[in-house]
Amino acid sequence: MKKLQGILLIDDDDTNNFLNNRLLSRLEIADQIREFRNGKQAFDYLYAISQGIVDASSAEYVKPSLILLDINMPVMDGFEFLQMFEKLDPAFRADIVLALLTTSEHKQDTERAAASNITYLTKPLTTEKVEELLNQHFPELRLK
Amino acid sequence: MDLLHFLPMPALAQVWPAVPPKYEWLFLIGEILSGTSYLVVASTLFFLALKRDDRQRKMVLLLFGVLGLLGAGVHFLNLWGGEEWFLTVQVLRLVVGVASVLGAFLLYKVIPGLLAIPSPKRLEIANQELREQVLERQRAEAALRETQLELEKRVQQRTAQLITANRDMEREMETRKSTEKQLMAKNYELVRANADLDDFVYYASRDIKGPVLNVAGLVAAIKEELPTNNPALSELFTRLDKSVDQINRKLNNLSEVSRIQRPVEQAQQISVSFDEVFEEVRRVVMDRLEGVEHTMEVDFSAAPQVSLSRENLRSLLYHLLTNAIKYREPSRPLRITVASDLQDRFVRLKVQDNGLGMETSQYEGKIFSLFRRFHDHVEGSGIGLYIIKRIMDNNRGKIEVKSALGEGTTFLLFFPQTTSPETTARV
Repeated sequence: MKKLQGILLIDDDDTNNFLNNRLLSRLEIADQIREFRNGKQAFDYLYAISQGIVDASSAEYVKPSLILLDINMPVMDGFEFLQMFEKLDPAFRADIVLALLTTSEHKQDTERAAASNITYLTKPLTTEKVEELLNQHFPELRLK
Repeated sequence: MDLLHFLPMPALAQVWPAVPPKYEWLFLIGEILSGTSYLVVASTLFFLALKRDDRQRKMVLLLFGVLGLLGAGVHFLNLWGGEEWFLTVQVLRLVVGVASVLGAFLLYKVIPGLLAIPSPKRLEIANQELREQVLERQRAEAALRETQLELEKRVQQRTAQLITANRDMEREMETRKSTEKQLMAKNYELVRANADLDDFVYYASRDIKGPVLNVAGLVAAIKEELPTNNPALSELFTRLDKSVDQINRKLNNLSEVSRIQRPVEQAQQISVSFDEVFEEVRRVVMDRLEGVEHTMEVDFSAAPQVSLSRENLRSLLYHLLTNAIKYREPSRPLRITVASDLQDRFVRLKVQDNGLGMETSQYEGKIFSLFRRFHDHVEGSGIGLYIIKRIMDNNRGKIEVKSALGEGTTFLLFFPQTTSPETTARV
């Protein structure tokens, strides 16, 4: 079965990352899942691999196909991360799908997400939500 | 008679008829007296002419003076000269005669003017009248002055009163201003405190939500890891799930409280249709009415629209309907009446049920408090009425509740209307 190369989970909540990691692992939709505690860590990593600083053959190298992004995080929040992400090499960004995953139902946040044309998911992440996301962005993938 | 001989006496012979010598002295005395009196009269007339200031009278007086002088001259000339003076004296007489005729003619001419000169008696009467008039006027003036003084005094008094009143008013206004300022400051503090509270509620509920969701996820994960055939564990998990659910619902309600009152959304007030929003809400609460015998009467024809944000109206109708459903009287079919109409400057929304009702007097002022609940047999968060109250407060509306235990409850919501052409036409 075809799988996603990698998924990045960006959330300052460790337990949430753990639960999402557990769910996604069980669904077996990706070869690799990596967790980051805030936007900056994730961005630094993405910047490094987009610049070829990380060797593509090393175990550290995970080119993500899907990024699940929390909004409220210390250091660099979800929207700041989005702004930085836009500055990365367009070719590198082309096949990466970004989705916000948050507890916030604040209109201000949902409107901002809609303006950035980005998928908006509310926590908790469930099998149904993952399935919908895959149908939307990776129709070639099917859950078992 | 020698006494008279200092004059050139032969003159007497010229007078016609000749004066008999024995009466010469009589003639002489007569002539001298006449001449002298003419002279005196003439000089008096000249004097008067000199003193007169009006030209016309001056001329007349002067003329008569000259006549007098000429008369005197004639009389004296009778006493003067001998044979050789005869012609001179006669010419002089002729001149005097002509001048007299001229004078008489002039006198005739000025008759109207002389007649116009009022007699002293008439003048006296006129003077008297004038004096009386002057006196009268003086009296009037005095009276006027008195009135004026009185008036001035009154004006001064009034001005003084006004100034005092003004000062009092100014002081009053000053007090009011400072009170108003204090009120505004207090109001501002309140608004800020409210906003802080909303912020706190929002961030608290948002930040607690993550861990709660984690707990729910962990519980689900534990359930998956554990064998399923343990009834004691299943019981525990059911209770755990229920507890987590409760926390979650309360958190959702709390975030609804704060979210609805965000000022950002207040700007988005437009006229919304009761019918449309009510249909939406009816669909949402439909499943709660499953298996419940009920009737619902809806009539928004009297006031089909209200100026409010759509989200706020949805929230209001949702909480009012769920309230009516939750607190229904199980022994009788539920009847809900929803209607709107215009009341004075307000659009009034009425939601009436025949449910359990409550003793409003007992809970006065507490009905709309946060987490306040009046029945314990059904699930409730105690937040619905609070949300309703806050939405109405935020929109400068008011809310009334009429309720009787065992009979039902009526909520009356009053929305102030902005002056749209439609409503002004109706008012």
